[in-house]
Amino acid sequence: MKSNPQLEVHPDAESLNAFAEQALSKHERELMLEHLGGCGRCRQVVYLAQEAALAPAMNEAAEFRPEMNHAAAFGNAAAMAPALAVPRARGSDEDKTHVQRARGWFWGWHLAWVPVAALTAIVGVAVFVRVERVEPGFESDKKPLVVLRQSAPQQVAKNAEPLPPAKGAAGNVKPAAGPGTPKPAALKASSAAERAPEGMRRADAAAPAPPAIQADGNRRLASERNGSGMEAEARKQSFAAQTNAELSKQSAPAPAELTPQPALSARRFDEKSASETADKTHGMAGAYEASRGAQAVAVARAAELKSESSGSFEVSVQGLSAAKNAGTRKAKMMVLPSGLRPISTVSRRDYTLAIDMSGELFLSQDSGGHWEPVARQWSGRAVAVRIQGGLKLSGAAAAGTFGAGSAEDRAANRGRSNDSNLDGAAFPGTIFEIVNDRDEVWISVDGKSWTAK
Amino acid sequence: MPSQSVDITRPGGISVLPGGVDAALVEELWRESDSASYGLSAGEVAGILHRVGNLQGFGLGQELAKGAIPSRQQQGTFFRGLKLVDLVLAQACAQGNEKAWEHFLALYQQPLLRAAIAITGSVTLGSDLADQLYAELYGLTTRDGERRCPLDSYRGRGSLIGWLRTTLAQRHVDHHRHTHREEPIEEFDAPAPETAPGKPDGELTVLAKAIEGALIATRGEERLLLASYYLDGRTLFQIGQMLHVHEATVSRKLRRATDDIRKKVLKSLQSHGLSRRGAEEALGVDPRDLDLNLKKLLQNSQTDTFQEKGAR
Repeated sequence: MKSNPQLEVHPDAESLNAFAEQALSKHERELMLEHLGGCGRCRQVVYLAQEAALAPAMNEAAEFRPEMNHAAAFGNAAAMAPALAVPRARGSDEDKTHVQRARGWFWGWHLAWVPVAALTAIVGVAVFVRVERVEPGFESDKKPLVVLRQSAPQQVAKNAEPLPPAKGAAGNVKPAAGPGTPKPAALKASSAAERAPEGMRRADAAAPAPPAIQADGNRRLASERNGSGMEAEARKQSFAAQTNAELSKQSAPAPAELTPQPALSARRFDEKSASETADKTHGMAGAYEASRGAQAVAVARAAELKSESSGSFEVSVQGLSAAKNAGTRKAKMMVLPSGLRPISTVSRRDYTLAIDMSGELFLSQDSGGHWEPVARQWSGRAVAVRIQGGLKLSGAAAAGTFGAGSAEDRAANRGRSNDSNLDGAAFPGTIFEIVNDRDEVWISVDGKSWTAK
Repeated sequence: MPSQSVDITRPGGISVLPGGVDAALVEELWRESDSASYGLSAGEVAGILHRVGNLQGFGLGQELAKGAIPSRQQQGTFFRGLKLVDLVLAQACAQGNEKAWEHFLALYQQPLLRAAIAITGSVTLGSDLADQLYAELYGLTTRDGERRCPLDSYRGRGSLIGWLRTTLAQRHVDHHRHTHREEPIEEFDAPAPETAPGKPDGELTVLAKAIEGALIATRGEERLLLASYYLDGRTLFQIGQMLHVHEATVSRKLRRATDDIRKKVLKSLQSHGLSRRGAEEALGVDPRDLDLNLKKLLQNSQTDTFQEKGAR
């Protein structure tokens, strides 16, 4: 049987404590070192006592209380005692938690860089992901002016056309000013305007009324807030709303025929919601108002462009379906043969037209698989492409499902779509439009041959 | 607890009190000890000082045994080298002074509890440990019919709170070591039977002896560093805290210690007839092939100076 190497004779607490506090003479210290070198038990005692000496400092800091500080300030140790006494239930979980919390606080100073680094990494990833997500659809961030003029109609088209016939605004509208040159306010608000569709999408269910259709007083306030440029845009918005209303009276089917989805009807504008919006907007902070104003500009532009077409509801419904149209999204994500990303696209089935940032038009008949350039037949720089639909809307079509409806309708549409080729109208009843930077419009039925409107 | 107070002051004023403690010095030390705040008289303090001075020989060692009477200056140097405030309080508590005990509780109850919690890592175990020590400190333990108080062993060389922490740590370590041996047999993982050891290679035997000799020859501090770092797994910071040096110093000392051991081993191997290159190659053998118990070697301390007489 092996002998136990552990020493059975140990220094007492007095000596160990004196060693820890360096109160031993040199000779005694040498002896103590000699013993500690060979005695695991005494080493453990010294280390534990040392840890315990550090722990109270942590606990006192962690359990700091004002009354304790007060007592300490007056040197009243007896008064400190109850302040330090923290009653705790005896339970292993709580015990551990308490000890770990104290240790965590202390060691947190040493490991402060770990959470900082983790936080930095998270923020970095979030920013990266955000940029990656935003970049494809918002290339125009780099060109705010073009964005405001080009993408706003698209975004309106993409976002399910929340612009029903403007009842409330129709009576108060004034003639819109011409497009003119972009104003600084509009420039400033362009990025917010681009984000408007996203916000509008989120606000589908419980959103405030679209700012494009505001009561007159509110619109005036917005104009004042956003400067002269915003005022012009607001007039334009009013005009667009009026035009929309008139057009909807002319071309929209009877309510019995048209069975809009709840989302659409929820967005229907009326006087009440307009006044509510006005009240809300009136009390909001400037930054938020600027953002809302920017949205108003974007939607007003959309309304204006839309109102130039004869079938605004067609555009609306197509916009709704286009928002869901993978071909359009795919096209916007693509890089055109020119090496540039598209700034404006329109799709009908597999038929896609896209304008790149230099104003060149490209046509794809396979949902963006292959592109062919379209010879320039227009003046200026093309900034937007869109569909001017002349189709008679069925109820289902009004509800946002293109080609849906009765079986006969679907069959007819299918037949028309099967006929889609380039020797004539790609889609009967469908007219593509190009808008240049002077708001002049060219139309085409096949996307290749364009004539001025 | 019965209150005991010993008044050894005598009317008329005596310059030298029994035990050789100067009365004027007692008066000074009584004020310095702040023992009046818990009702201790100068006479009681004088009794405590007398006892402590005699037990420790006033720091004079062998001279006192020869009958030398310490001078007032020597007494003052000795007592002021101690933690006088703590010492007087501890001795008063050990003697059963109720007010001193209350003062002690007011000062050390919470720090002691926190220390116990820190040592055990648990509020429950820490409270139990602290309560157990309180009971002993209060004098509930009797031995041979006499009331035993661990505070009686406190000599004032270190702080009283440090002494209390060390005592708690001792209790905890001893308890752990006792209960560790009482593990249920189900949890005991029996080692595989040892295979019959083959005849050790001559070179390995030489190497093992060289290492053993090098380790035994290490100084106390080097051995402490090696044991703390390699056996106990302490960090450089912890070792530095214990020795009151920077961890970089500990690192340097450790490297120096290992280099010294390596040199000694190489030298020993060369003295056994190996070439320098052969000795270095011998150091590259698999440590598992060596029949060495480093823990046993490092713990084979020669000193028996210390005797655990306090706090028991």
